[in-house]
Amino acid sequence: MASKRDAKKKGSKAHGGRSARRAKAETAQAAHVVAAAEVALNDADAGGGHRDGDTVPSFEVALNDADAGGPSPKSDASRSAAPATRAGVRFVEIVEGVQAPAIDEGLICSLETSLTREQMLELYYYLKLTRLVEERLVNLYRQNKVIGGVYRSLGQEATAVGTCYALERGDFIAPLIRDLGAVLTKGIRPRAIFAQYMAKAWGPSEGRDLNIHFGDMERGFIGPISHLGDMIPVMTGVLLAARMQQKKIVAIAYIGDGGMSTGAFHEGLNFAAVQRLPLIVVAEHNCYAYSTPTHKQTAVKNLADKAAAYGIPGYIVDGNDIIACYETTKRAVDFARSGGGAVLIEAKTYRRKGHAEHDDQRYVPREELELWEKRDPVDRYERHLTSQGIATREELDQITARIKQELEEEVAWAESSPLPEPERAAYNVYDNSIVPPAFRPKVLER
Amino acid sequence: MATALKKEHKAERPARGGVVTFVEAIRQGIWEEMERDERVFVIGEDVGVYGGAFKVTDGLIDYFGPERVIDTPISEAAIVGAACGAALMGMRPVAEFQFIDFISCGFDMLTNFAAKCRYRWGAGIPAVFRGPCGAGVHAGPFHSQNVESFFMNTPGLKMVEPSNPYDAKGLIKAAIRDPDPVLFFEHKKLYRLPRLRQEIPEEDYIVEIGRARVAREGHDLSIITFGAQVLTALDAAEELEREGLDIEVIDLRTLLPLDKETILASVRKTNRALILHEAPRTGGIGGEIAGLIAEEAFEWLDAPVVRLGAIDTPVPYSPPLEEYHLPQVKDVVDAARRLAAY
Repeated sequence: MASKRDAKKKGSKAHGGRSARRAKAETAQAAHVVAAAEVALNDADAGGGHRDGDTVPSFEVALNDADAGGPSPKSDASRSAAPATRAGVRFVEIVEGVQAPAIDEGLICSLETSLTREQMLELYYYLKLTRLVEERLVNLYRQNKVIGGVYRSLGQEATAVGTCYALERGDFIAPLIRDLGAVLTKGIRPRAIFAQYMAKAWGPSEGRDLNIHFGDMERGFIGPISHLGDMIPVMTGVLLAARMQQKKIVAIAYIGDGGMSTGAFHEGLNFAAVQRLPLIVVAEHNCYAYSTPTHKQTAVKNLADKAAAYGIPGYIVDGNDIIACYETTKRAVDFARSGGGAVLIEAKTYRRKGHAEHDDQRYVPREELELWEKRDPVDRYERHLTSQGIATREELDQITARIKQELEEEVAWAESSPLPEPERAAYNVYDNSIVPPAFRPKVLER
Repeated sequence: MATALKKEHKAERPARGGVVTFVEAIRQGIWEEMERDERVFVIGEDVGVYGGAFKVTDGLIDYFGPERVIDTPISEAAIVGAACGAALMGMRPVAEFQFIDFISCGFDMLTNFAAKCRYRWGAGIPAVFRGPCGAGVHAGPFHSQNVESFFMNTPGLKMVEPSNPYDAKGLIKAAIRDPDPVLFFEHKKLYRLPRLRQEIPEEDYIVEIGRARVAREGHDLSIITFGAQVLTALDAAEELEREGLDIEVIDLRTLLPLDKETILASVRKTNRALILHEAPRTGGIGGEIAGLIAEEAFEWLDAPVVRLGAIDTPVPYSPPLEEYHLPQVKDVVDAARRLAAY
C-alpha cells in the first residue's frame, strides 16, 4: 500500500495542504471523470441508500496496481518525470498520434482481487478459449469453410471475458461482434460458434444469421443485431421486465467507441438512467470503428466522460488487465444490483486486427500495432499468474492442451452438420407459420 | 407470475361493452387485457398521469400503477427497444407512439430487431406498437401520416388498422395476445366521431388478425380499403346506389398479412376492383393489392384495377390544400363510374 501511495505522490506535483483525494484527482489526466464519477456515486448514495466507503474509481486502482505490480524496466525517476506513462494516459496520447514509450514488457495485472485461485484459472480458461476459438475460425476461413467474414477480438479479449465473469447466473449480456469472450464466458459452447460461422443447420440460428448473431435466453444471452447501439434500449427493456417480475438481475450491454455515436445508445442509456435500472454499459475503447479512429468519432477524451451526461457513475479501466476488468465490473454490478442504477465503464484496449479478416489495416501505423502486441492481454495474464505464484507454466499449458482437445471435438461436430434444407428459409418468420412461395405465382405455373 | 405490482385501484374501471366511441373501445381493450394478464403493460410518452395525447390510456395509471404504465423520455428508439427487451423476458408490452409519424424514430428497432428476432434465433417479440395515424384534421406534415407502406416490405411484422369500435376492441385484444410484433394504427379522425358510436358486447371477444371484413355487400364493383377511408367508401357507395350501382366495400382490417382470400373472392364476384387508401398513391399498399389481383384474378376482371390514394406530396396543413391532397368521396364516385362504364 505504501508504495502505491508513493507512486501517486510522485505522479503529482506539489499540492500543498489539499486533501489526498483532491490531489490524486488532479494528477489524473481524466480528473474530471474521476470527479464526475464520485459526485454521481455520492448522489446515488444519498438517494439509493447504497454506501461504499471507498469511492475511488477503478481507473486509479487499476493503473496504480499496474504500476505497483509491473516490474517496469524504467526507473522511478523516469516515471515521476513523466506521469503520463501511466497506462490510461499513454493510451490517450496514442489516440492523438503521439508516440508512446514502449515500457510494456513485463506488465502484469492488478494485484488486488477477491478472486480465488480456482476462479483465476477459470478466467484463464475463458481468455485462452476465446483466443483459440478465433484462431480456429481463421483456419476455417482460410479453408473456405466459413461462409461470411471472421471478426477478431485479438488484443481485447480480456475486456469481454473479465467484465462478463463478474456476472452471475441469471444475469444478462448483449455482446457486440467482438465479444465472443463474453458469449463463451456465459456458457455458450464453441460448437455453436463454429456452426454459426459455417452457416450450418445445427447452429443456433439454423443458418439464418451469422457469427455470434444469436441468443440464448436460458443462459442470459440476448442476440445482438448489426445496428450498433440498438441493444442498449433492448437491455433497458429486459431490466424493466425483470423489475416487474421481481427478479434481481443486472445486465451488461457492450458498446464501442464507434457505437457510442449512435442515437440508440443515447436514448437507451438515458432511459436506463432515468429508470435507475441496473444496466452496466461496457464501452470497449479499441481505437477503431472499422477504419475510423476514435478522434473522428467523438470529441471527448475519455468515453467515460459521457457518463456525466446521463447522471450516472463512469469508470475507466485498463481493458487489457483482465483482473482489473473483473474487479471494476464486479463493483459496478454490486452497485447496480443494490439499487444504484446504471453505470458506464470504459475499457481502454486495442483492436489488433482489422474490422474483419479481409481488412488490410492500411490505416493503422505499424508502430502502433507493435506497441500493443507487447500489451497482449493473454501474455500479460500468463505472466501475472506465473510471476505471482498462482499457477505454473505447466499448469497453464495443461489448460491450453485441454482447450485444444475440446476444440477438435467442437469443430468436428460443427463440420459434421449439414447445411440447412433450402425450404427452411420459409419457416419461423411468424409463430408456427410458413411463408408461402410468393415469388412463384400460380399464373406462371405450367 | 410474481410481480411487484400493488393493486390499489383508485380509479373507476370503465364499463365492459356498452355504446362506445372508437377511443373508448381501444381503452376498454387494453384495460381488459391488463386485468386478464399481469404481463401486459403500457409504455410511451405522456401515457401516465396525462393519459396520452389522445387519452387512449386515460385512467390506466390510477388503476394499475406506474410500474405498469410507464412514462418515457422523448425516445422512440428506447420505447420500441425497451418493449422488445421486455417482450423477450415474457412480458406483453403495449407501446404507444404519440403520433404514428414518430414511428420513423423507432424504425430501426422495429424492422431490424422486432421483426427479425424470431427468424434469427427463435425469440418471438409479442409486443404491440400502437398510435394515432391519418390526416384530415389539419395537423400538417408531421402529425398526419399513414405509415403502413413503410413496413409492408418487412416480413416478421403484422399490421392492423380498424375502422370501427367493435373491430378496434377486438383487434387490440388480438394484437396483445399475438405472439409476434403487431403495429396497430388508429386513425385519429375516428377516435371521437359520433357517427361511429356503436354498441359492443359486454363479454370478452377478439377479432382475428389476418381476416378482412365485407363492410357492404354488392355485385358491381369492389372498393378495397381500410381505416377511415372505409367511411369514404361507404359514403361513395351510398351515392352510387342512387345511380343504380351496387358497390361492395372490403374493410381489410389487417394490412400485413393481407387477407388474400377475401380480396380475391370479392373481385371474382364483382369483376371490378378499386383500391382506396389515404397514403400517397406511389408505393402505397394499393400497388401490392393490385399486383395480387393481377396475378391471381386476372381472368375475372372486366376492367383495369384502379388505385386511389393521396397525391404524391407531404400532407399539407391548410384545409383547402389538405382536401386537395386527400382522396374525397367525389374522387371515389368518379373513379367508380368510370370503372363501371369500362
